[in-house]
Amino acid sequence: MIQLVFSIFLGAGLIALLYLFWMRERARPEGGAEALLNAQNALNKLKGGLLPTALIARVFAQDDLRFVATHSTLEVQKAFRKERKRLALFWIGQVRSQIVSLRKFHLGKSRFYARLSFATELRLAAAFSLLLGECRILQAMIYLRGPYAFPGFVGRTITGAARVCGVSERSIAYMSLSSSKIPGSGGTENQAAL
Amino acid sequence: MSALTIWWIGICLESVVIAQGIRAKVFTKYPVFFAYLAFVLASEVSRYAIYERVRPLYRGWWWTTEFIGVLLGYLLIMNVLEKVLTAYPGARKFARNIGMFIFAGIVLFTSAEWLFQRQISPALTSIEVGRNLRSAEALLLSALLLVIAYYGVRIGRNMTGIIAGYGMYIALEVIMYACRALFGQSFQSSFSRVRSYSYLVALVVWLAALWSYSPVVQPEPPLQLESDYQAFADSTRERIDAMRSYLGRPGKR
Repeated sequence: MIQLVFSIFLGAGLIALLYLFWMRERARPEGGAEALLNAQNALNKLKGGLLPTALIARVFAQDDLRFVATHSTLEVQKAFRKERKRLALFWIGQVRSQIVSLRKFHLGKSRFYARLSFATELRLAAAFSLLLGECRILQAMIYLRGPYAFPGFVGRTITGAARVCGVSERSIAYMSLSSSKIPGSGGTENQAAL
Repeated sequence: MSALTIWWIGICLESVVIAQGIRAKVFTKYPVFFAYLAFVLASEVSRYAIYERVRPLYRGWWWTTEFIGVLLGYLLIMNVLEKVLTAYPGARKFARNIGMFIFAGIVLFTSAEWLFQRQISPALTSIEVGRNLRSAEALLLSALLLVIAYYGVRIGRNMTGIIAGYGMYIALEVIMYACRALFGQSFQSSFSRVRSYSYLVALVVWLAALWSYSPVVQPEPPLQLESDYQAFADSTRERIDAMRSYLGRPGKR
């Protein structure tokens, strides 16, 4: 019986994969410019950066909430919380979109390396999945309990933000440099050819 | 529709796919696929001839051709892997490694089963062997599809048709073999019927997809990339860690 369940699961899984694969192939635009557009869009998104740290700190800061709570009506407080929650969700969405862009950029380039390391790729795939999962969990938590439910969160975010800025500058500089080596990813040769 | 009619329709459709492949010169682009199809056609015709003239030999011949067909199926999947990922050495290496993992897993599983049972199980009938071989094929094909999707590789209409037709046939084979092994002889007629119909559908998909050659615009091989993979991967890793710490969790260094 276990083998029957496994076989049905395997067969059904393969059919589902084939369906997704078929839909994906049909939905993709024709032409060789696709790789160029994807790589360039991903890099542009990464260069766009995230919301400034000060703004994030302000969105999650309790001072504003306390001020509004003491100086306004219940409706205003409600509207204030709603607005902050919307901003917090927007921020998480932005981080998620950056991670997806980074993954697209990485995969778009790594598929060309003959010396690609299987173990490194697996580790990166796991890291991307974990990070995207964390974003989803955080999104759900903020959606359910609001941005003020995690007081320790802001402090850690501000500490981390300083690091992400430095790393971003270095990695974007490296990626911009290396992307110019990929034919069809926005390099000068290709732009000239276009 | 009688089993014999379905059989004949299958033979006609196979002939049409091969003839159209020769006429449109598609067979020169996908020789392994057409060799596989030619083998299936030859085995179908020979099975029919043996069934009509030397019926006692039919069962043995059916299993012999079935086994060779499965082996050719593996060869077809490996050929699809090589062909689809030619322009992407990194993705190809990744897919090959996954294929090796699956193969090693199957060898380990079979060895463990054999060791624990101390002998080859008498219950391991030809149906179960067929089911296991097809399951391994389904796993391999699923892994290949995941790699193609993960690395965003374009494969074109011809290859999509080959994969879709073959994949659907294999998926139904896995399910039907499992049902046949579990329910026994009482399931035989449903087993044969579903197999035949699914193969007919696969043939129609192949006919539509391989009617003419549809080239895929492949990216040019990149230049000067070999030495800096590790630096590139490190850069990605560093940025992932930074993103994690930005989210409020210090990254592992």
